Amino acid sequence: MTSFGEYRLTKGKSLLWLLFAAAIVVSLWRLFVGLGASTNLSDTTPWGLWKAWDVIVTVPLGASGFTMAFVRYMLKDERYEQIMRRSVIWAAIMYVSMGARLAFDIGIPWRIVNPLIFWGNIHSALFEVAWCVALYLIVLLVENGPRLTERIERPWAHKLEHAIHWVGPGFVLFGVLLSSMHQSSLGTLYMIAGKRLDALWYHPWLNYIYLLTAVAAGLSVTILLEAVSNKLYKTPFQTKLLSKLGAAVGVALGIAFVWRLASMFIEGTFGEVFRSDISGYLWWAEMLIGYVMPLVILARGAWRNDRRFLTWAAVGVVYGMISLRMNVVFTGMNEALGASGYWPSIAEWVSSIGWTAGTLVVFTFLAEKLPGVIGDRVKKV
Amino acid sequence: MGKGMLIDLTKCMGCRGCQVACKQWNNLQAVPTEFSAEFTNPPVRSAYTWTTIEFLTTEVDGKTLSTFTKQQCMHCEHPACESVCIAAAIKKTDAGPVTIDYDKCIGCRYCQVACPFGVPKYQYDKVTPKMQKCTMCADRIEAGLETACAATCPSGAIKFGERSDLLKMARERIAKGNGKYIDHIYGEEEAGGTAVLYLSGVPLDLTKLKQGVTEEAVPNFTWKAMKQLPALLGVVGLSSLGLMAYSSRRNAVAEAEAAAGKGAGKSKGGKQHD
Repeated sequence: MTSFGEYRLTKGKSLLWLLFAAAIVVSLWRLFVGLGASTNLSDTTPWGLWKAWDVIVTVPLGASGFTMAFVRYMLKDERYEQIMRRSVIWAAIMYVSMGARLAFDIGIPWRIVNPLIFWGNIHSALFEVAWCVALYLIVLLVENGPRLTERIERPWAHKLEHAIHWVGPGFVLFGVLLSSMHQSSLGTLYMIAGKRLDALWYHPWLNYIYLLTAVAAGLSVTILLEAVSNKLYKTPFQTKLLSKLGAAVGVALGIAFVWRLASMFIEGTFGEVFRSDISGYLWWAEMLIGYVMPLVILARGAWRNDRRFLTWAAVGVVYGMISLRMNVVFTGMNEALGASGYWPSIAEWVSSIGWTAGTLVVFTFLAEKLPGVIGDRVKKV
Repeated sequence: MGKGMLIDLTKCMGCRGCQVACKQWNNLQAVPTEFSAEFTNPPVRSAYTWTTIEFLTTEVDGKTLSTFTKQQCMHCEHPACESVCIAAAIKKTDAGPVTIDYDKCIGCRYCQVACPFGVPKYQYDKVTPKMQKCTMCADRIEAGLETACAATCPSGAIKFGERSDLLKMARERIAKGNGKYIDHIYGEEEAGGTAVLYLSGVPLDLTKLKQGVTEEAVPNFTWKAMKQLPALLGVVGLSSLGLMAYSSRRNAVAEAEAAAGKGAGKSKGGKQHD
């Protein structure tokens, strides 16, 4: 077996590290100049790119963690061990990064943990998200713990590893429960707007739509990680294992799709989809790329078991997940908030792109450094 | 029941004395203004301008009609902002006002998304900003005074008092008005009831009062989802445990079969225990 202990700094990775560094510089600068000076936020666009992309989208991008932990420990399928390791590390990176980025988005960053420690409001969906995410970080630490202890060849590390092995399934269950709560509560956030939210994205149970699409997107991210690893590290693309995940994606996505359309018919707002403006086009793009295309692929066994088709389906699902959340924050609320012409500032772009680049490059670093994450390579690179 | 205000739009003459009184009592800084098509000035409410008279000039039956709508926080009976506040910084007090505790606010700005009237305004120009809005002069109420805007209103368009008394007064005015008022008390049902109430002499679409506001208490919109969380946890938890038990059994059976079948006990590579 090849050793993967060394980190190879390629040109692409160097660029990502640089973008990440730029984002950190911008974030620190923001501490001194304030939220208004660094962003184009205003009273009519209180939530911008940082809240939408860096929090509301980044959390479900990390849904690979709880879904794969579920497959590995609830379905007790050990064939998924290595795929699960990769997904859980990815999730940890997304959540830690999201937490850091969230601090810079709130008006007074150093107060970020105050609501959790001193006071809180159980009626606030945001409070519930904050608590679940904070606790889920502990779960992610436990789930990733063995990657760290496996590297340390000391008696205490072995004992710790055994202890983690013993409590592991309990923490996995805890993580699944916490994720069900906060992934759905991210949808609850915008339910407060009621029908002020554009009819194209309004749903009476937006929370469950968010949960279903988070499950679908989480498993799709797992498929995409395998595809990236296949390209980057020449590891095998385990089509058989992944096509089973693909089937589960199809079920979750299918329910969300039917439920969204059905609710529009029940509300009598289906006619809105023929609107010929930017919001109408965005809705069609979301439905066709994010739901119809993946569902058509995933419904057919032969396509589901094809590496290329499966990868494209996963890309579509992730696009649909991102589209729903971005449209709810921006397109769907613009009118209700009286927003006019919000476009993120340079600092907002640099920060969001850089932090996202950071998650990618930190992932390559950990994947290459930690044991059993990349998997066996087909041929040496 | 708490205090409130009854704003009779038929009595308002658009002098903006209330705007000045509000700035004065609450020590709000002046803001640079600009020309606009309407007389509303400053053109928008902000962290430093909590109330404005919004002017609307329209033509009805060939006649020019100007209406003046005093706008500020509605002080909902069931405030959306209070229910969404992550830090429990926003409170509906027993006295009636909805107030913000600046020491608790972290600046998540969820209240700005949630408010059906678009009231809370943030100090985007500050390094450590505060969320700002009309407090219904909570400090004056505590001292037994009426709100600054009500105290200063020269035409008596703003009445301060118990919300229940004001509702009665409003109904009387409509009943005795001989068609002077439209038969609607804005704020009686809007957003599940607000402490600030309005009477209008013209249909509401000729004023700047927000149209199409829900009559349900807004916190219910999210609470209906949040109260299902225990059930969601139950379903997910029980099905997870069930699947876990099933999978354990399935693996055990598979292992036993493999052991019995092959004799030597060579189980499949993928199913080994680690």
